[in-house]
Amino acid sequence: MKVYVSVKQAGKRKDYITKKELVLAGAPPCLRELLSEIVQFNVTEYNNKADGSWILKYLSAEETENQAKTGKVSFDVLKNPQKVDEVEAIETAIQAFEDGIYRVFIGDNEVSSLEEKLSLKEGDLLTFIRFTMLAGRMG
Amino acid sequence: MFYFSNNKIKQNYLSRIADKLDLFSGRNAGILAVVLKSFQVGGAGYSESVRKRNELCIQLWPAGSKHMASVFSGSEFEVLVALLGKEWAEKFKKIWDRSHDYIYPTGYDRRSFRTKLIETLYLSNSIFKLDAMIDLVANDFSYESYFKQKDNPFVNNPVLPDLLALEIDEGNELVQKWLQDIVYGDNNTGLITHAMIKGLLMSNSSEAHKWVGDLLLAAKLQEGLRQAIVECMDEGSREGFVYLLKLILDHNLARFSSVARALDVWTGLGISAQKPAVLNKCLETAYRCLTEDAFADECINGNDSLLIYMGLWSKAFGEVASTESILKHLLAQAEKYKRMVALFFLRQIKFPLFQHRLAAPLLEDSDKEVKCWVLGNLFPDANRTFLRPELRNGLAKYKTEKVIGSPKELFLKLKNMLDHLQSKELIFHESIFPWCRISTSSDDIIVKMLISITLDDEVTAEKCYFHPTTSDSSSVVGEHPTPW
Repeated sequence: MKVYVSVKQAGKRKDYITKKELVLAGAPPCLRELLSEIVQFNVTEYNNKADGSWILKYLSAEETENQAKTGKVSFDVLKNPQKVDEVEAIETAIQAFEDGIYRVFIGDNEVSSLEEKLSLKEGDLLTFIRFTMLAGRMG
Repeated sequence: MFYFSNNKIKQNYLSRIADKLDLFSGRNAGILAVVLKSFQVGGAGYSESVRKRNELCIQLWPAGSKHMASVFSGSEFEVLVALLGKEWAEKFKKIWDRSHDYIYPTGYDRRSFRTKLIETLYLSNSIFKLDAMIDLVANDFSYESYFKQKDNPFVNNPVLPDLLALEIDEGNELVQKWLQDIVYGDNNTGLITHAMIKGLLMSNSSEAHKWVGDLLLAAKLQEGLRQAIVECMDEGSREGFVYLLKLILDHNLARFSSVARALDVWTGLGISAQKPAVLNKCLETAYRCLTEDAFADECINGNDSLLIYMGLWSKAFGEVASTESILKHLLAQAEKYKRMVALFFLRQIKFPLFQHRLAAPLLEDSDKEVKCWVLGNLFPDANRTFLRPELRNGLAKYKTEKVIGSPKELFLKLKNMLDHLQSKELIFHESIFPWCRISTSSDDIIVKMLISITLDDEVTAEKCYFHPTTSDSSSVVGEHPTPW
């Protein structure tokens, strides 16, 4: 099932990620499953990147140009060889949701609980909004 | 929090009391006069105000005094009545008497230590509270205006937490109702303040502790609220602290930076940047040590530096004087890390004479790293400004300290260190704990040397140090028992 993901941050005008395509194995029954699958997907991608050997040891002109648009041109090499623990990463993501660090919307509707039943459809837009801790001390 | 209580209303109030000074005689007249002198504005600078406060301390705490409750007791209570009126004087006397239920250090560098055996440690802060109490009374304080009036002048008054705690413990239902409304949000005009949280925690009411607990769990993204709660937890009652610590452990709140940071304030470990596993170990040990005395003993007798430290901390949490025998035992151990943990802990005690007395004998330790830890405990409250004649009074207490030997001996031991210091600065990384670093420099040692000779009129720096190689001075310099 193909869905789109956007990540926004409260207080920032520009989206952190805009409509990134994501292919899910099936339709996850609840938010907990959906978050787990997305984290799993990201962890696998990250760990594979750590494994990946260099085929081209230089950047093509096109790559340089594309990366320059993002503000950083790099070989995209991971200097930290440590792999991410999938279970731990899922726990962290779930904990962060429970703490209210981010909120999830499907289309225009907020999913407020981890166990809430989802009726995800092909081509739905998932929006994650990150919040910031209010750190000022009180009087 | 900045608090300056010398407003005009208070000064007029004090002037009116000064007019009644003639009505008092004997010791009461003396106390009242010094209180007024200390709290009335005289355009004096910092050192002058410190001098006045010291004078007040001496007046209130005659030689041989043991308990805070003996101050303002009997006929001396009349002084409080004159200053505060009967109703507030009675309340304030109760606050004054129960000061030993709370921790004695104050400020951001405070540790969670209490004492019922050395109550003089509470005197200075209690005098500060008396000043604040006079300010409240002079400004016609009432709970109604405090809770209902926006921007009232009492919000930051430092005696308010004590007052609120007292009212809760004495069953003042109106105050409890106001506080409950504010905590649970039924009151739209009242805002929760630092003083209210501290007051709830200072009370002995488990219900009040629960309110703060609920607030802590509801804080969610409000890290500032969480910080306000956990950073005044230690200033409340023992029961309040233990209750909230259990909540922190049960809900894994150590994942929030405010909790990690507060742990540093409580213990002085400097542990907040460590991994969650280390923080949790520290919090769990703290809870078990506070609730199971046998476990605290087990930790102290074990061989894990962090557990030894937390065991000591939990003992001082109840009674700092009870750590003396344990520290002496640890300082005599052959294992270097045990001596260093004891010295590290000693640095947190905020009781200069105690620190100096226990650490000074280790000046002759065979290990340089241990000596570095000793130095921080010598004259811990004094720095080079104390060498100025007008500030030397602050050193007077060390003159009475017989156990440390003569100032001359101390000077020579320090000099021996300086002579054997191979570089200008000596640094030990990962000392005791991987995140700790200890250093000392020739400057540090020289300042301690100069302080030690100011205590002895017969010895001069010139005689002792500046001609060490002449045959004349060799008898003064003496042997160098251990190389530095």
